[in-house]
Amino acid sequence: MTIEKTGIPKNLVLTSGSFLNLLNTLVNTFGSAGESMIYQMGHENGMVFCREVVSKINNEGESLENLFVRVINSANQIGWANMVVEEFNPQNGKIKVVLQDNSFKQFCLRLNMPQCFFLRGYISGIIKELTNVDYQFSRSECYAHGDEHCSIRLVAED
Amino acid sequence: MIGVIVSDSEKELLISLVEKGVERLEPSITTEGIKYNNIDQFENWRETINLLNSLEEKEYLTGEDYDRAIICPSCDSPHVYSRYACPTDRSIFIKKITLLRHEPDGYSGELENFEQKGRLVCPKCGKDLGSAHDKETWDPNLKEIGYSFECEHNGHRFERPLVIHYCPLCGSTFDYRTARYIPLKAYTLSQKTYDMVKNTADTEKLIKPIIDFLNQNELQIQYGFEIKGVSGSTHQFDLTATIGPSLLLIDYSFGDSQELVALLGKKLDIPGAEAALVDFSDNEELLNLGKVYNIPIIDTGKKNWVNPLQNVIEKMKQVPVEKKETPRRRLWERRR
Repeated sequence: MTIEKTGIPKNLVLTSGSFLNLLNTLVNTFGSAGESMIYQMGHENGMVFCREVVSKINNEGESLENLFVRVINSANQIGWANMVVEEFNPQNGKIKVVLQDNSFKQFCLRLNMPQCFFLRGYISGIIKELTNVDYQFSRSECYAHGDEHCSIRLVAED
Repeated sequence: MIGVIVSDSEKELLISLVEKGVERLEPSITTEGIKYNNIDQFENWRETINLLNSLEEKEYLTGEDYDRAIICPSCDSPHVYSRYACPTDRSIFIKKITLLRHEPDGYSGELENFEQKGRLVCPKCGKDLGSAHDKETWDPNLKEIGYSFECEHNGHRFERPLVIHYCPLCGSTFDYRTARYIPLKAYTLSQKTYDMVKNTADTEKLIKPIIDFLNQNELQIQYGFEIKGVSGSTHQFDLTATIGPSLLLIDYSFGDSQELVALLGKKLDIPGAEAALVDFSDNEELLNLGKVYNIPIIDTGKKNWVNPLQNVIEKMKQVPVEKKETPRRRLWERRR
């Protein structure tokens, strides 16, 4: 007998390969607009995630940097990568996050181009939620470009 | 990706080739670099090659293996000479020695031993064997049996000289180890080029009323615009129009709603920019979708086609309203 499940499952299991296929389909269909769409998806997800994390923690007296680090640390559980905040300077509008043990490393190498549009958006969504300032992607270190590390830099929009 | 977009310079080249009736491009090695017939060359010949390779990748040209060029490793010039050199001291002052045999009497020796006042005479039997300078006149019994080289500096004899390249442009000498040896391609225009050129001509005709309208409203027009969005992705647009700091992004559509979705995706990445889709297909569905996405569809076939464009321009001309000072630490401060 099959028991029909009701309600929305809390988690869905999706392999990173399947996830990347979804992203690639967008890029293959819409070109650079697909990359932008992926970024926007990441951005919205980052904002929602940040809101959830902040609502659950007691952040009284916490500095903005600590709060950002806590949200980023929580995001590590998702499994994209071990994200480490290397630079956090909202006064200058500069943020740098290093991605260790990046799950997408092999994909970046295989496809010879960065696959981090979702993560760029995700991090910019987190910082947008915390500061209400729009940050844009500045540059990255990427395995696909021959760099030894993976990192994402964001700068505040003018 | 949706099609492969050609840059302005690429499009310009293809149009000029079709207009000139050129079907094939062949390379030649000149003192100024690698040149292709019927192309106004860039200052650096590499740029021409990059342009042609790019057009081949985009399938506007079909490339075929045609030649090879030796490139000077110091100055990148393909105009190099080759010289023979002594393998011992690398001196180019060597001479080639031809060995001859007069078969009836079996005498063998170097060509210069046979030479007498411009004639070849057998040193053994004294028979005249023809002109020293015209092989065609040689006696059939005089055979060339081999050759060797002799270095005029050290007297060393050898069968195979070194091949040394000399670049007259920068004066450097090099050999096969440091030389670059590159393939040169010939290119033929593909059907895709002829289609593109025809479409461009048609599109220019169709787009003219829009360009005129934008110009009347003092907007600056740019074709084939490229811009980096906040995601870091680089987007291309068929046309852009600017007035002051305001930017209008325009793409063309032949009825494909995918173009509209793509334009929306690109617009999202360029905060503050306006966007409009020029439709050449009279597609009602696009008009409705455009309303949903808040992207005006410009169809010059429609009676009041200028209205949506006029609205966008008015919006662009408005002095930007100063953004209200937003709390910079929204979540953070709320919770303190």
